[in-house]
Amino acid sequence: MRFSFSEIEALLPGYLSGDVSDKNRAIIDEWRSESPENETIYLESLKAWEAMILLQEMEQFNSFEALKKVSSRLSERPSSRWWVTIQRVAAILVLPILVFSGYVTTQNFSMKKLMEEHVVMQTVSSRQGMVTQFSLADGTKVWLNSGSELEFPTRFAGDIREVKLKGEAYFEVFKNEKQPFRVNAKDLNIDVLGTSFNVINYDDDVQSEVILVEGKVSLTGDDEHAEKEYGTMHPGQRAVYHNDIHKVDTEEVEVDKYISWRDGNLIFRDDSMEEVVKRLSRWYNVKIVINDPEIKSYIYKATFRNENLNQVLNLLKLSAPIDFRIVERKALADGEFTKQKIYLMKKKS
Amino acid sequence: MPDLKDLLLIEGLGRRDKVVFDFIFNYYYSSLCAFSMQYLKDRNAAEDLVQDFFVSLWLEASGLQIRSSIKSYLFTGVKNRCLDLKKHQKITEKYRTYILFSSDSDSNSVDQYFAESELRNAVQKSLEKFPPRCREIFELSRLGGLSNQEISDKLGISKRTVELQISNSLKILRKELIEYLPLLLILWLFK
Repeated sequence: MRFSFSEIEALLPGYLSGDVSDKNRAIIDEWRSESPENETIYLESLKAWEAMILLQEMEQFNSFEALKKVSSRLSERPSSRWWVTIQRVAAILVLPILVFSGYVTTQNFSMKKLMEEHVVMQTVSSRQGMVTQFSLADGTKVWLNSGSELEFPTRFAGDIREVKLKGEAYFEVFKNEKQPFRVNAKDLNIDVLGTSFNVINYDDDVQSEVILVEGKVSLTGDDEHAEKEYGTMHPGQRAVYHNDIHKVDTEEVEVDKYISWRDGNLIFRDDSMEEVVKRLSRWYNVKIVINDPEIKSYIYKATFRNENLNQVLNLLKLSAPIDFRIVERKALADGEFTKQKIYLMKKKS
Repeated sequence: MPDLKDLLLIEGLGRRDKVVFDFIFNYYYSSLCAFSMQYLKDRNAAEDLVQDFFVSLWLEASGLQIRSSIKSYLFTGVKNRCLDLKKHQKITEKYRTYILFSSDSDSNSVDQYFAESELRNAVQKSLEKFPPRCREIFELSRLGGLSNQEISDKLGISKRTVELQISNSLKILRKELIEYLPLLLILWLFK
């Protein structure tokens, strides 16, 4: 009886896991013996099947703990005759050797320092209106929103993987329980093992926000507020940290709205015009001024996909009683340009 | 032949530079332990053996002669120690067959081992190419240890769909990981 390759492929996982009927096992056994090529495919499948388990197995070994143990044993010396001879010579030459080893030690120290400093900090920033996506040394993926900046080491040494964020970023953290991942956002630290979440931390804002998509994160104060524990978050929650009063509020939210920027979309769902303006001005790098205070409390609902600023403003005008006026960029004395300014006002009926 | 980076590391070891030693230790420790566990079948014994190996690496560092890559030196060293230990423990007939069988492929196979971080990157990169549902199912099955029936109950899809998704995942994983696969050589030899 002949079987197509796709039928064989469908049976392979069961065969590999042992969860297979005798009949199907016989089919695979026969297929394997038919040609060396089949056997190769089988072996490759087996190895792919085991890859994740092997990885899991490796992860249970803690090299940092082991290194401590090993380091304490490194002063052991193999005893041998030449060593006895050396000791005799050393007894005669004690002074010069002391001097020499003193020299070597200082040399070593500076070498060590040099190597430790070798962990170079690096900064990636995202230009206005652009989303930058990249991976860190540990496999963690980062989406950096328009006008944001992330500082991180070229490799993660030590007990913790720490990065520093200004602006907004979305993280998909590679799980590594031995080395927790930490995002530092002003006074707030976000500690995670492996999970996906969004952080908003602009310098001109008095608050930092964390939106958790999956997994679990815990929030703590930074060094100065080290004793502060703000508790853990659950998926679908948004935490707002108020920098002035060092307090955290959490609420349940629709996470899509907060992570849509990764795909170049701006989604507003029952957001106040004040919030809309804040996000638009960051996205398009313009200054938007609300002339009528009344406008601030308008509630707005919209999704923008790759629209330019003019299109967005015209959509605003169509869908809300709002009008706008644009003041173009001006050259300053030093050759720099001012930001484009947009004034929003109530539409005159 | 050691490459340039290896030469620097070997030279550092020879100088007994503790920073270099720590670096090599942290980089390879977990994969060497997993490797040694394949022989010893005992977690503590595997860790002890690898730790002993590193202690003697340090003590003998000044006279160290490495003509291969560091990776291959470490894996071969650990393997030899495992085999020695097994010999002490009166190896079985089956085991002797294995040694005979593997000896011809040895010289090149050891170079194919990977450190944990390397394997993690490779697996991670492959998983990213999975459709999300497919990945979820595969992870539940392989890492979560759930049976196909349990996955089908949990996600509310038919068992047949689960089976199909898993076989698709395996297909993708095999193609994506193909250059890393020799790494797992030892695993199937012991099946």
